[in-house]
Amino acid sequence: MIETLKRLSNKIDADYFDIRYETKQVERVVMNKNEIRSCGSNTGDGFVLRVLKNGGFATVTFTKPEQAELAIKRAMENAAVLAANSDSPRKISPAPKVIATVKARLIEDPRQISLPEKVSLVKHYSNLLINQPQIANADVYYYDVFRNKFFYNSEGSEINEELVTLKLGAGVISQDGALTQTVRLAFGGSNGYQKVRNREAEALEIAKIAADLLKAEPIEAGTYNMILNPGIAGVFTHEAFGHFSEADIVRDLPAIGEKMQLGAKMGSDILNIIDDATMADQLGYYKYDDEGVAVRRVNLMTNGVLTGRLHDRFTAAEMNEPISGHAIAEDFKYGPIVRMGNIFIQPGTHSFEELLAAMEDGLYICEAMGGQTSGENFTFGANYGYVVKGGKIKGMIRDINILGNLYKTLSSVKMIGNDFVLDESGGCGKGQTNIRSCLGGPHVYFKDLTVGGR
Amino acid sequence: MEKLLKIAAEAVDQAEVFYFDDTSDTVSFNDAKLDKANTSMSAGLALRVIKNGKMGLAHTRNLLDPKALLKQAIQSAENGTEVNFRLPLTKDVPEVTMYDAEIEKVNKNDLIAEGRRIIDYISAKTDGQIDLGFDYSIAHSGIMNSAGTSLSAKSSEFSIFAMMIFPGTGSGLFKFNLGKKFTQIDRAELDNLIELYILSKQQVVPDTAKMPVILAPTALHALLSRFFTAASPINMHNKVSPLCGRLGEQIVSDKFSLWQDPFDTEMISATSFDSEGTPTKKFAYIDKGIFTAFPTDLNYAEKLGIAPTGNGFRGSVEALPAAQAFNYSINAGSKSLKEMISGIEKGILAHSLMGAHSGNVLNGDYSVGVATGFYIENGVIKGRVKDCMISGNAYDTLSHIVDIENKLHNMGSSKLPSIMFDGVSVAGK
Repeated sequence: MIETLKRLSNKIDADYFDIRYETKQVERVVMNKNEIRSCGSNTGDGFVLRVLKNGGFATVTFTKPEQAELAIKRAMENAAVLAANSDSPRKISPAPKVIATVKARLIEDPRQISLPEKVSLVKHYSNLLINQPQIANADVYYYDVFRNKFFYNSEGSEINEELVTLKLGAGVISQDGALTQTVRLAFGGSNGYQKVRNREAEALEIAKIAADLLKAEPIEAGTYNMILNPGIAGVFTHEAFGHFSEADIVRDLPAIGEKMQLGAKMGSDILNIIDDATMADQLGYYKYDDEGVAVRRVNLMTNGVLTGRLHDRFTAAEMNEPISGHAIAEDFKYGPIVRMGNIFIQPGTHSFEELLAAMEDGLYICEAMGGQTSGENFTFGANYGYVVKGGKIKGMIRDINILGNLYKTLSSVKMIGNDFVLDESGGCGKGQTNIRSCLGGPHVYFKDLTVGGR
Repeated sequence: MEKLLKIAAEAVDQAEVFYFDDTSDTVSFNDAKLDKANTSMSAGLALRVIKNGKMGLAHTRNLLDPKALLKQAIQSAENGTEVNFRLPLTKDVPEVTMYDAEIEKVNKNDLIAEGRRIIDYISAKTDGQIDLGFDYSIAHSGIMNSAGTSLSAKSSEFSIFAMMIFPGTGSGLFKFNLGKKFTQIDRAELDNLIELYILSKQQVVPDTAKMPVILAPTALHALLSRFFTAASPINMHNKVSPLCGRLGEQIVSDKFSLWQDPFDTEMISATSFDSEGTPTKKFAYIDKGIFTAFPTDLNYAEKLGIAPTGNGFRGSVEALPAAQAFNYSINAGSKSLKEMISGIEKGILAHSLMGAHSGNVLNGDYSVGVATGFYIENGVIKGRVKDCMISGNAYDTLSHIVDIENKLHNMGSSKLPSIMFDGVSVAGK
């Protein structure tokens, strides 16, 4: 395939170009209330061409090889329009030339497992969940995605990397009269099918939480001290801080960029935040990004001070900071953008019990239900939580959505737990969906977070 | 494609081919500086088959091997969902013109010049960051099935997006304009936005209390998405929707109606047939507060024993058709936005929200951050709100409508007014 890419691109007259071709094979089983809604295997493919000429940088995506000539023409036209009209020419950071083939590291290869076997696994979890007390419905789904990426650039890099991602997920709905509650379940990862086997006990626990939520009290609006469990602490790290570590967001919002200078003190002294996609066997693992740059561990925040940023080759050149290998595309339909790989708060020294005792009164909130960033503000929802009184976990609460501000919330971290869990769900939607966006961390105790409610 | 349908029809009981081919372009400015000029050319094809009462789907980007695609679709059907519907024979649907040949004349140099004019106009009156973007596209799509349906459509789309960001922040106000050919941004609406921007320099943290809240058209999705999730035929069929068994009942204020009009070509999703080839129709989802209908696709209409509404759409070639509301509008009321604001003693105008997709959507509960909103005191905007959330239940909130704006704003696939609600829970200081 690399030879084809070389042939297609041999007429390009640019200062820099890269061309990526990938096939994306998706096998999927979707069940809705014990009935299969869709199932099957499909393959899509396409090309992404990026050119830089005279400071004009343009991306063209196309799906048919016979469109290559037209695509090159359009890319050169777009680059010329930008070069002629722009007052800030684009530059690209130097990166090592790479020639590599990277196979997916799988314990149990989902591509070797038949579709009927996957169907029966989904049915198995569906049956299990739906037969629990007060569970009205369980929408269980499974997918595995095999991206086979071929990258070639004008500097001579030639990379073929495979990424295999899989997930078994469910929305578990409990019901009591007109009241329904939904709890989500997700098992999966980047290292094989074993991730979705033998997880029945955890699935039953989710069903029990969904049933218990029917009796939980809706939370009252206000400001609370709270302990976040690792699942939601990870989403907090991703939404509250991670997006502002992505150099393209900082670049596009100069006012935030001015405050997010490396060396700025932004968080509590005890707070260390890291993005490390190189950790083996977690959801966000990869070797080379979609610009052919090897990903590295980045210490984003050290003792509350901003110490690193996630970059593509263009943002790194613009900000004069080192490249980090974080240019990621959803698939062949998109040019890459800066994405987190695997972000987390570094564990501290305190046990969960110590956090509870230190907080005394407040909330213990668990598992995330989506989050969003808008400017320097962010929200994230919790699936469920508990009131904490005198350091003891009491009654269950629901309908918890937290609001925070980039400049304030990082300083409200009071204590960090010594445990560590990485999420298996993924699915960050910053313009494109990144199913391998990994996050996690320890239990973390925060002071004064705002919660919406009745 | 005809060949694919022919070999498929011979091998299975029913077959359907859906295809699209489109080209889209974008030019954008970031912080008033020219930033991007990109092109995307994309095509795809999906084959849906029904064999022995089971449905399967296969899709591809490049139809290199029709037989292999058919084999994939049959394999998918073998493990697939059991269905009883028949693909329709649809002919002689009304003409809905969604293509304007003027789109072919759009070029990036002209857009850059127009972008600079708009930026100069805004920056002469404001001081924050200005982002601006143009998108334009031409799309072909079609559907053929073994019952003899063969329908196709060509469409063009042009949009402008302008955003003013408050100094020192990342949030702001935005304006979105749509058309089928090059369209100028509505200067009167832009002026209104600039006026709001100027009024909102101060930041205010509101009290934690119940108060009147106006949701702008850009914020109404927080409520509408909850209604449409509950009104999905899947949730109705599975009897987990709070709207189950409530057709014909009053579910929200009688001031509120929600209509779908597939033939209103000012909205971008206008079409006389859906992606399953079912003719579309005009109908009310909510008429004067009464829940009157929900959207259906072929499969769930059959399961529920009702006629399909022509709402079976595919988000992409990868997806099976699923019921989706489109081209809908809320009835206009009698007051202008300014009149509504002037009637508020203490309250909030929310322009955009954060986290509207999280929480217990099916149950109608919402608890969202106000990304951009304004604090109103004694009928006057005092500044923009900071660190503020609004929460409640969509049906309860929609039952407490005070006024609806006398103007509808075209949001693309919907036309919406601003709506003022009473007694909404606000979390602030």
